[in-house]
Amino acid sequence: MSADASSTFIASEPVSISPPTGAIDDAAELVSMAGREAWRKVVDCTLIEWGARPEQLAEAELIPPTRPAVQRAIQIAESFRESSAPPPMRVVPDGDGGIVMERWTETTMRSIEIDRDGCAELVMTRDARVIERIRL
Amino acid sequence: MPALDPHDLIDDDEIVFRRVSEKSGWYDAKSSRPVAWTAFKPNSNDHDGVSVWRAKYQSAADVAAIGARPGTRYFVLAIRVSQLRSAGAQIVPTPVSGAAGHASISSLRVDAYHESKDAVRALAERIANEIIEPVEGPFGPF
Repeated sequence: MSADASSTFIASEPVSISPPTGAIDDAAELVSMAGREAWRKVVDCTLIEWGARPEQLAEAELIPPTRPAVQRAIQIAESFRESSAPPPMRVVPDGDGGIVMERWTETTMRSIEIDRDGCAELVMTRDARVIERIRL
Repeated sequence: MPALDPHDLIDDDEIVFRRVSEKSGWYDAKSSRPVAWTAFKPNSNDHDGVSVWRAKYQSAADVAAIGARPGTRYFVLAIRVSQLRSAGAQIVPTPVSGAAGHASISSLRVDAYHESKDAVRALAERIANEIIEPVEGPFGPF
């Protein structure tokens, strides 16, 4: 994953930081710790579980995540965690062997789409229209 | 496969159901976007489009039970056909053996997705965000 793609994902977040004080620094650190913990849960509680037992998700409507998709998702999640990126608001199978991790605001959505082969794209939509798609 | 009744066209005022398993995470009542667009992303088996069931023939509970996996719970998303069509989606009857009322959102075919990922993604997201009627369930575990 490129540094540019990572920063694009981070930049989508509504960040509002007032002039630094000790209390605000502490709060920011807590937020950062919470974000890293959320990413850890994504890896440990969701992605590793899907990799170990993909059949639990299988349905007529849903082809479970493949091993390459899970491996790439873990790689990306760990990279974003290390860069203190905000955690995803949703991590779901894409229904065709891939995985989608996403954050959104009222009108925009940024998704990391990982396909069954482990290829990943950062996709931004506004009012449900795709306005940017970047290969990671 | 049962013959298609040419008179059984899908009316605008009909409701169709889309089933999602609880394990998929595609529906989360507590989320600010409760329905994930991936619930409408075609998979490799969706050659005719994403599967739905017509409320005219099947209740939400019936739809949840069709081919249900043991131990699994399901939500059933309801969508008004007129809203689907307003969003640009096409829906056609696609009869299957053993249960009446199967249909497909033919705009959400797997080949359409590979031809134009952005267009299919946009339609799936719009359906998920804007035109879901009240969700029923969970039903099960079966």
